[in-house]
Amino acid sequence: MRFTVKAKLIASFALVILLTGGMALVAKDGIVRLDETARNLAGLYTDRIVVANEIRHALDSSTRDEKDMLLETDDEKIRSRDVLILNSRKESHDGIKKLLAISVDAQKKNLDKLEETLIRYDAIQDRVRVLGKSNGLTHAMNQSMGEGEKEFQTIQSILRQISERSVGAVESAPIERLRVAFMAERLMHYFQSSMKYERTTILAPNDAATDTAIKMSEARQDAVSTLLPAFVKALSGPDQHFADELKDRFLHWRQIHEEVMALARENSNLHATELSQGESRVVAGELENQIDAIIGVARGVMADASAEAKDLALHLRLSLLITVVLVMLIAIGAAIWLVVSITRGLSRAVTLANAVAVGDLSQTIMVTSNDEIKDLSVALTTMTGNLREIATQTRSATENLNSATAEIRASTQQQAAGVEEQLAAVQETSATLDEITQSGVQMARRAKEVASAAEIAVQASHAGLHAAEDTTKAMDAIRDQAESVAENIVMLSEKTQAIGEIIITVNDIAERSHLLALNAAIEAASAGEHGRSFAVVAAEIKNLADQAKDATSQVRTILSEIQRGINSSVMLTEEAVKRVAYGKEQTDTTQRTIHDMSDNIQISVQTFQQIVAATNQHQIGLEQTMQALQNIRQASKQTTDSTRQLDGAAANLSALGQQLARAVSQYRL
Amino acid sequence: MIRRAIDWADVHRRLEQSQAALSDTSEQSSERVRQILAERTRRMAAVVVDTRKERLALLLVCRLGAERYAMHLGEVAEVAALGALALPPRAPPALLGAMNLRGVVHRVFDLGRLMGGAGLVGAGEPGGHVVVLRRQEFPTGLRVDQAEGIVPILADRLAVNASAHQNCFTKTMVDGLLILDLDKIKALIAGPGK
Repeated sequence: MRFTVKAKLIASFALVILLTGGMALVAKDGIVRLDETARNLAGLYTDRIVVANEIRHALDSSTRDEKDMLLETDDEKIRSRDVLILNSRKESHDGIKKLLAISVDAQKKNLDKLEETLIRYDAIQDRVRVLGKSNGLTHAMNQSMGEGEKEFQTIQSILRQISERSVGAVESAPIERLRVAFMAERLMHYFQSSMKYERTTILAPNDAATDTAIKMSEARQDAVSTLLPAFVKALSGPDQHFADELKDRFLHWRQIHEEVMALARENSNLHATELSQGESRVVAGELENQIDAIIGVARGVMADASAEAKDLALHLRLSLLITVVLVMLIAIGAAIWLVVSITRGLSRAVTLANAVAVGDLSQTIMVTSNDEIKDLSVALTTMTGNLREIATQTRSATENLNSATAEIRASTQQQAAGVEEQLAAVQETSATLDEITQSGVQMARRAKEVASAAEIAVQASHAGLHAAEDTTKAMDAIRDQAESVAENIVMLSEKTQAIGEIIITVNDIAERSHLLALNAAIEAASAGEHGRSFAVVAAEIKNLADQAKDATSQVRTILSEIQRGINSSVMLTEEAVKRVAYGKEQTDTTQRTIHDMSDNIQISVQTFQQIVAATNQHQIGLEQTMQALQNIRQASKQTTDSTRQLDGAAANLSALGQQLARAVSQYRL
Repeated sequence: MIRRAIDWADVHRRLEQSQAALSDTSEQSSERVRQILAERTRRMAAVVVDTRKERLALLLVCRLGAERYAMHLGEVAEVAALGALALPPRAPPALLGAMNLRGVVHRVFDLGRLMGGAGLVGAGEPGGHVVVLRRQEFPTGLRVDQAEGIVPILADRLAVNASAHQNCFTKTMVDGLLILDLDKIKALIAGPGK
């Protein structure tokens, strides 16, 4: 089986490439797994922790906004805080949904639990929001310090006036006035106590204190309600007009007081704070713990993935190292095998080439491999054999060359003699051709003259042809005009016929006039003397009629002469037309003759031109022949010189043959 | 035969002359009429003078073949051109036929045939004139070759030549004219007509 060097190289490189490809596949698989792990680490696991932290942040924001809302007293700010709470709550729920989408199943249970706790926290926070948004204590404070305080001061002022006036007149005032003053002082005291317990209720730190303050305030209100009717009733004199005002203001103040107490009794701010600080905080703590647990699980998964990635990278690095070493060993083995198999055969070939270089053609080589090296060895062996055979042939050829060289020298000397004779013959031929050339020049000149004469004849025939054509056209014109003349004459004849008809009419009129004149004369005669003048007129008419008849007779005679003249003219014109037609036929014949003659002359001109061209061509041929003879003569001279040189070369060749014989004898066959 | 070349200038000159002559003829027609009228006036004046001095007989001259006849104008009613004739059956040879003349039927006799054709060389030309006679029971006309005209003849001359030239139908001959005897002709007509 033949296993060429090319096949060896291809097999070696294919093996290396296959091993490298396998190594690359192993590395690719490991890199893909490593990349997936890294992607998880960099993306998914990190996202879980980030989202969990976002949920924690949203919860913190919600709790902070809840506290801030409880600390606010302005309703507008409270509403804005409430909006922020709802936004943070929405972010928390969105975060849980997002985390659910990227979490594993084990983590989803924790998230469900977290969402459940968050819903519970939202419910508690909703209660806090309701209480916070009511802002009862603030409203109660504003009522109490605002309109309630104003009404209270007015009532106190009235009561003070009544009391002072009653006290100012104590020395002379009856006991009723003193009692009124006393009642006014007591009312002022009860009012002040009511206001004190109202503020106490508002500022109560807990529900118990609130209840105590409310009870004290209600006791004072009952006292006022009992005392005020008696006081109003007791008013008299100038204080009487305060009675209605006091009752109205008291009712108004009491209405405000009851509203304030209702708000204070509700104590929403306190309850909201307690709820926020108590139950809400507990649930928020649970949420915090659950989020920490989720983050902890995520961190654990992330740590596991990181460890797995490290193991994978280590495994991949080891696999690649082993594969590279294996591939390198195989490649080195293949290279050594290639070098050995190629260089062994080549060294044998070099040995054979060196032997041939020194003239030893008896060496041979043997190669066991079946590749290009073997082909080279076989070729070198064949080359050596062929060189051997060539050397043998060269040796015998050299001997033949020497004998052939001697024969060449002899034939060269004979050829020199022949060339001398050829040179003399060429000179004689040149003289003869020179004479032929001269006669050819004269013949060409005569032919040109004849052609020129024929050309002139052609031009003359063309002119004659044009003249004949013009004559034909003129004849046609004459014929047309003669025919027109004939038509005009015929038309004139028709006119004379019309005149004849007119003459007939005139003659008839003359005849009638003649008869009329006769009858007139007859009538005149019958009239006797009375018709004598009429007879004269009739005679004159008759004379005129007779003269008219004579004139018409003369005109008829003239017309007859004219008609004869017209007939004669028509005949003459017809004869002229016939003669013109005959002339045209003659002209056509002449034209055809001239045309034929022109064609013949043209053919002759062309023939002469061809003769001139042929003569010129012949002349050129003679000149070329002369030139060729010159070249032959020159070549003969050169041949003579070459023959001498050839003789010298043959001598040199003989010497070279002897040298070659000596050189060939050096080969070892 | 060598023909002489036409002198076209002469031809043009002759044509111009002919054209000018024709134009002159047309232009001179009014002058010609004036001359005719003047001549008529002159003749009328002359006739009046003549008729006052002499006694004239007016004759109608007719041509029949190569001969010329004359008849008294007083016997002639009118002269007409020979028109269409209707030939009745069994008519005498001299009766040419009946002719309608302005609504009146006239008998037309051939004068030559009535006179027996004696001396009427060349008579019987186509056409001709009809001389209508006066005072006939039936309107009657005589066909002649041509009624040439009226000539005045002195009455005395008619009487002088009567005896010398009298034959069957003619009375006399004056200045080459044969004066017809219309009474005989009328008698002849009356015979065949009846």
